[in-house]
Parts: sequence; C-alpha cells; structure tokens
Amino acid sequence: MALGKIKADTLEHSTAGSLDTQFVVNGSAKAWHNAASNGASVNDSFNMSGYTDTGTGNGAHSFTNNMGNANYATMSKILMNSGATTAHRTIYTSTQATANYSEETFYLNAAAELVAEDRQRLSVAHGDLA
Amino acid sequence: MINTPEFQGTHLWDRLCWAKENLDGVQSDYRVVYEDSVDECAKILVPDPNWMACALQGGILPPVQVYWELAKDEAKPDFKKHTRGYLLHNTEPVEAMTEEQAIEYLIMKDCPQHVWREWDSGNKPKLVICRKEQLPATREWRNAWKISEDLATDETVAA
Repeated sequence: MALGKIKADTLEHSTAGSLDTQFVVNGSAKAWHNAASNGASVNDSFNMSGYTDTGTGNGAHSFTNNMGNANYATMSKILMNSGATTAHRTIYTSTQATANYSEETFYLNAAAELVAEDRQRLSVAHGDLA
Repeated sequence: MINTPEFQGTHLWDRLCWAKENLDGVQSDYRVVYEDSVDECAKILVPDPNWMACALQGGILPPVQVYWELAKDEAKPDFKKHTRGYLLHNTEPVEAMTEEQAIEYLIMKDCPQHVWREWDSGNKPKLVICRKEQLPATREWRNAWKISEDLATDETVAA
C-alpha cells in the first residue's frame, strides 16, 4: 500500500493570510498518553512504547520516537471520574529526558500534607522530535 | 493483515501516524517487574498497546540498538540536543516480532541497562516477566512491592 502524501510548505487562506506548515508540524503534540489509574494498563496513546508504574501515584512515560532535547513541554491531568473529593490535587513532572519523563500525583489531606495517589493520567508532550 | 509500506528512510513519527491509522492496538498480558534500586519498590513496565501493534506488524520500529546509541549521546556531559536522530529514521526497521520477542525488545529499550544486563547477578532476579494476573490484586501496599526472595536466577520464572 502506498502512503498518500501532500507536500506543502505553506497553507494559504483566501483572506486571512498564510501559514508556514512548519508551524503546524512544530506546534503539534508529539506524544500523548491515557493510563489507567492503577498503572496496570494503557488505555490509548500515541508515540509511546510503554508506561512504567514506579509506585503509588508515580509513573514514567517512554517515547517511541525520542524528543530532540530535554526542553520539551508536558501537560498532564488526572481524571476525576470516581471517588472525587474536594481535596486539592496536583500532578507534576519529576524528571524529563529525551527518551522518557516521569510524573507524580498527590492530593492534599486535611492536615495539609501531600499524599501520593493513584489516578487515571492524561498526558501530552509538545516539543521537537529527534 | 495489512502490508507495511517500505519505511526505511521515513521519519519514525510518520510511521507511527500510519500505524495509528491502520493498526488496532494490542493489549499484552505480559508485565515486566524490575528493581533498579534497593531503596525503592519494584517497578512495573506496561507495554503500550499501539507500540505492541507496531512490534507485531514489523517494518516500523528501529532496532533497539538505535535507542542505546541515542542514550549514549544524551549521557555525554555536553549534550544539548540529539544530532543522530536520523538513526531512528534511516536504520532498517526490524521485522515482525512475536509478543515474547517484543517484550524482550521493550525490556532492552525501556528498562535501565544495568538491570537487564545483570538481571541474574544477585541472590534473586532483578527482573521478572510475568502475566498481569500474577501481580498483587490491590495496590494498598504498592510502595512495598518487591520481587520475591523465593525466586531463583537459575530457573525460568515465567513462561
């Protein structure tokens, strides 16, 4: 099967101007990931080879196509579809390399302590590919 | 089964776009449990279903040695960005793998090298391939999970 291919350096609107397709390529998300809350499975993804459950609330995403440098941007959320409370929650990136990045998830308990928590993760990576 | 286009020289990301559109994800029952630090709990590597589909299809993924080369580059103190990304795109892709071969490839790609190269050098294995059902059913003590001391390195621990 042959790959269909459109090659263009510029997209031009009839009145609103033109856009270099490099902006489209560079601005697209390069990877995304949706992992089950218990870390036991990956629901769906793109450009990921695996998910490593590294402990309660912790996990690492590995790219199939590495990023070009470690200065890419990740955006992650947790899905609050069950057992939701009003506690504040946070998910942050703890390490970042061209082959993978790690995240940690916490909630703030009544004593204002951060407690690691397993939640379904939704994560996207933007940046330059290797 | 759909045939894989001739992909050598095609950007790996473009190949993954093709795979996402043309291949169904494959959820593997295999899990890789490993310990890379005595101070930390066991880690569990879950194969990605879309990646597994690529591995089983063949002609998409680069040889695992390509990732080792990129890791070597990144480990250099003056590393700023990859200059040998072409290895991902221009190296001849690997042929179709069995699920077991894919797991071995994934171990060599995503587990630390010191774990899988010396998995049997201690009193117990540092790495075990198991089925999903063999993992503990609840995560109540997740941060205390360790590979069993009862496992020996001179026998096949998962089949």
